[in-house]
Amino acid sequence: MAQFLNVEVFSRLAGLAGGSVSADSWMGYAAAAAIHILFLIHVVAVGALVFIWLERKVAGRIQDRLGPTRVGGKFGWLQTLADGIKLIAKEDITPKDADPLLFKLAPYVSFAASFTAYMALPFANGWAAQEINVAVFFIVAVLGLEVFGVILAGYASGSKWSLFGGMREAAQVVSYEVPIGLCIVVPVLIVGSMNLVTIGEAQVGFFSNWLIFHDPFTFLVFFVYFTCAVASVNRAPFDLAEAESELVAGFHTEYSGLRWSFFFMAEYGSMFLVSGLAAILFFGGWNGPIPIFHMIGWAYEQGETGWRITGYIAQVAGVLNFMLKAVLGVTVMMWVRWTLPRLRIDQVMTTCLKYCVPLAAFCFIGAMLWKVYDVSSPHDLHGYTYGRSFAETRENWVLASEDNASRAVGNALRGVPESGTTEAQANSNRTSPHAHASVGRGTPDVTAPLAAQEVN
Amino acid sequence: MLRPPDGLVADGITAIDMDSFPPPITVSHYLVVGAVLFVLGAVCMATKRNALGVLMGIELVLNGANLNFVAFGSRFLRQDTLGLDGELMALFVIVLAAAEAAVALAIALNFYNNHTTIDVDHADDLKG
Amino acid sequence: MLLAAIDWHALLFLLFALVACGFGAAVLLTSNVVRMAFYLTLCLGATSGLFFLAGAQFVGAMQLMIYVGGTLVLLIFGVMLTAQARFISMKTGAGEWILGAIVGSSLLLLLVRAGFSVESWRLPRLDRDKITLAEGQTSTAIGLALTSVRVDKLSAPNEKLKPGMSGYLLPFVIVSMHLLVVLIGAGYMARTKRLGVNRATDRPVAQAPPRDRDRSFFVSAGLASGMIVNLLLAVGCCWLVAKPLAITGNAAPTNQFLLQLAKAIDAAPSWLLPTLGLLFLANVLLLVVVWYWQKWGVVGLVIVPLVMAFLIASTSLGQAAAVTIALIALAPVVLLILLLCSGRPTAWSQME
Repeated sequence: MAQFLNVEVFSRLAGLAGGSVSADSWMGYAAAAAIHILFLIHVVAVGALVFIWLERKVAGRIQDRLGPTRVGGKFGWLQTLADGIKLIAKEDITPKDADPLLFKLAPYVSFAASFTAYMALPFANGWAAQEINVAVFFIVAVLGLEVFGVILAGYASGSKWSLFGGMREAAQVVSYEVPIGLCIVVPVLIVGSMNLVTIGEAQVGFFSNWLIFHDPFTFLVFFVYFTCAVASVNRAPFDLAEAESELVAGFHTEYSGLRWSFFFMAEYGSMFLVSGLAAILFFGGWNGPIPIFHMIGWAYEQGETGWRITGYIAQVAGVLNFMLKAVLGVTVMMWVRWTLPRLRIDQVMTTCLKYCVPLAAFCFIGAMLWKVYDVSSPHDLHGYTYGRSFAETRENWVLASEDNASRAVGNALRGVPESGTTEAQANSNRTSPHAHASVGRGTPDVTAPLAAQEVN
Repeated sequence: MLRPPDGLVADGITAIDMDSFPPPITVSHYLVVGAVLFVLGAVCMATKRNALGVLMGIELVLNGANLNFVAFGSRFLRQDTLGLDGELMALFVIVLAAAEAAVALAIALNFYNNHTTIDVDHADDLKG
Repeated sequence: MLLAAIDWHALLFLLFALVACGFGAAVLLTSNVVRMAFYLTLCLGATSGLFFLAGAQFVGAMQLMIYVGGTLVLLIFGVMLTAQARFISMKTGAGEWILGAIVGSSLLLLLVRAGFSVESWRLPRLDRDKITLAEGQTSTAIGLALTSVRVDKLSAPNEKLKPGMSGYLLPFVIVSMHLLVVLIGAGYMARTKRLGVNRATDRPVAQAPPRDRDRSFFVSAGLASGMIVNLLLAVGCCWLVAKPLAITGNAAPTNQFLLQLAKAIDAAPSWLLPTLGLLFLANVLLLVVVWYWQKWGVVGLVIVPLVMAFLIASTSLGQAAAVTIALIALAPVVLLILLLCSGRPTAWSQME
């Protein structure tokens, strides 16, 4: 996209002014990065608007009501916007007993953690803000930080309800990180990579290639994952931290106005995130049930780095695919919320330690044995893989071990040919995509190809 | 002032002082950050009276050490590195720090249950 | 151009380093414990950023996951549980501050000097333009190193490093055991002891009164014979370890079997026989457990043959042998379960 912008937009603009812009100019990268950042922010911000509206509609329908109908014409689709304006207009109160600094910071901590995790989430093949080698791990780790905001809010509010909510949340999230880690390890084990792009691309082809259909254990482990994901983002029936029948509103009892809405945005952001993670890990990510774009040859080939409009359309279709799956996951979470009653705190812990952990461990062992004894699965039977086979992904280190081992391992796992990796290093990991850094003084010819792969 | 060996001057790298930070980040830069964290943690351990504050000091110290391990193992900073050993050591340190925190917290809770305070200055039951 | 002129690596390093050191200092200077924990979070987060900058992605993510997400949450939990007043602050005396500052600054001076003392530490990598992102992707190599395969050392330029190809399997196992012990120990230590409060008065005793339990002769006999057979097998395994079979003489039918057995034992790895012996001993113990009316003994009795089969399958003896052994070993267990479930009242219903 950066090169496209350079060639098609900036060079023409420069032509008007009498100058010229090369295809690798930084302007294209900056513009592409800005556009992508804008999109990413909208996934969270607009996503929250849509999800809140959706939640109200779903809740209404499940309870045999209509939900919002008036605002914005049909279906009340502007209801959330009206709510948002109301929230902004509200008075911002800080309780007298609160720790003012932490009280004010807590919502932003929550939101920042939820949003940072989006940095590593790919929306299509290679379309991630930052493609990290350990993306799955990174996302789970950063999502775990969201609890910090909640705990701080609970503690800093200076209210007993909030404190109880925060403590429940701490206990719950720390416990549920164990089964969720065990569940995520299963797809990682099958594909042999923690890179989400690699995992998604390993499931290319018909829907029988999706990892949930890989073997009975992955099928089971998906449901364990989903349960734990619901618990780890504090949705009903696991929303003990804000149990309104016991704790008024839990950790956000004392919050109002915009700060309160930040908690809400963080919650919906992480809901979308865990659903998206489920889509990539178990449901083929951006790959549709039928690989239409592969069949007509539009999709990018493996290792292709150039830009073409057909490939771009295929990618956008992949993004839509991914979004659809993730939104479906969020909708199921809403369905669960309005259907099941809330658990007691001891039941929540029992669900985690007595059911989810053993089940996940069992599935982990089962999937491991399935791989070790090489039992066939729909993926292998079909023989219709556009991507590389799992074994190739996993075993490349064996093939490459004898000669230049370590370098080849790194390259092979990324699925990039040896010559194609002129990227600098991981230093732009925690920043926006345009902040590519080369190790040396960033000369344009070093930064350019690295950006080409990321911003693409 | 320390002078680099002759061969390096030919490579375009001139005098390196202790107090100047040349833009290419080297292992030494990491070592300085690690040293600062280590010292802050050590002083924190020494001056805090709250047992949990002491615990946080220990975490800082461990992180300073970890930073050194990673810097020595990093291939981006130096030609002849520790390799993977540095990262593996850092991993073990992190894991052991988690274990240490769990035990220390259990001790702190136990102490609190018995003394209704976590001021470490009150932990003088064994004093003759 | 402006963007191209900036050394992003140095800039980001400076940013993370300043955040780490600044909030580290904030931890030291604050006396409010919760704020200390919050500053520590930011400090450790920035440190993980430094890890990412140095190319240690896995360690950076691990730092976020375990340190920031696990240890610090635990710490804040501890703060909440031990809060006396709402916001604890224990002041440090001025004398302690001065002493700490003196010791700290001298230590800092020493460490910074040491950090700059070796020349090769002060020099960056010369071929910095050739560095690829792939070089930072060490997660697979780390995983393999933890299972004692060092792919990174295969092409080590330094000849001295090559012999050190040993991996980290043993430390990994030790750390795992250590974590388990810590988990149990911490849970035991932190349990609430309600002194002076008699829980028994709060709720009725749930313990059922001891019943008279009887067992049919067949079950008793089965259990006893199982113990004897397993003990003999265990002893046999030990005996085979001590004195390998030396088969001489002609090919009589009995000798034929022994010959095959000896061949199989020869083919098996050396750890197999002692392990099998231990498993037979475990069987004996499990039978004793069943004798004393514990249901989990039966579960163990089913698991042990499966473990045996798995072990044998993983050796060169082949899967057919494993299945045979599993069937032979499972048959008496199934018989035992049938016996336990027969009779009136069944032995199973009386077990705990």
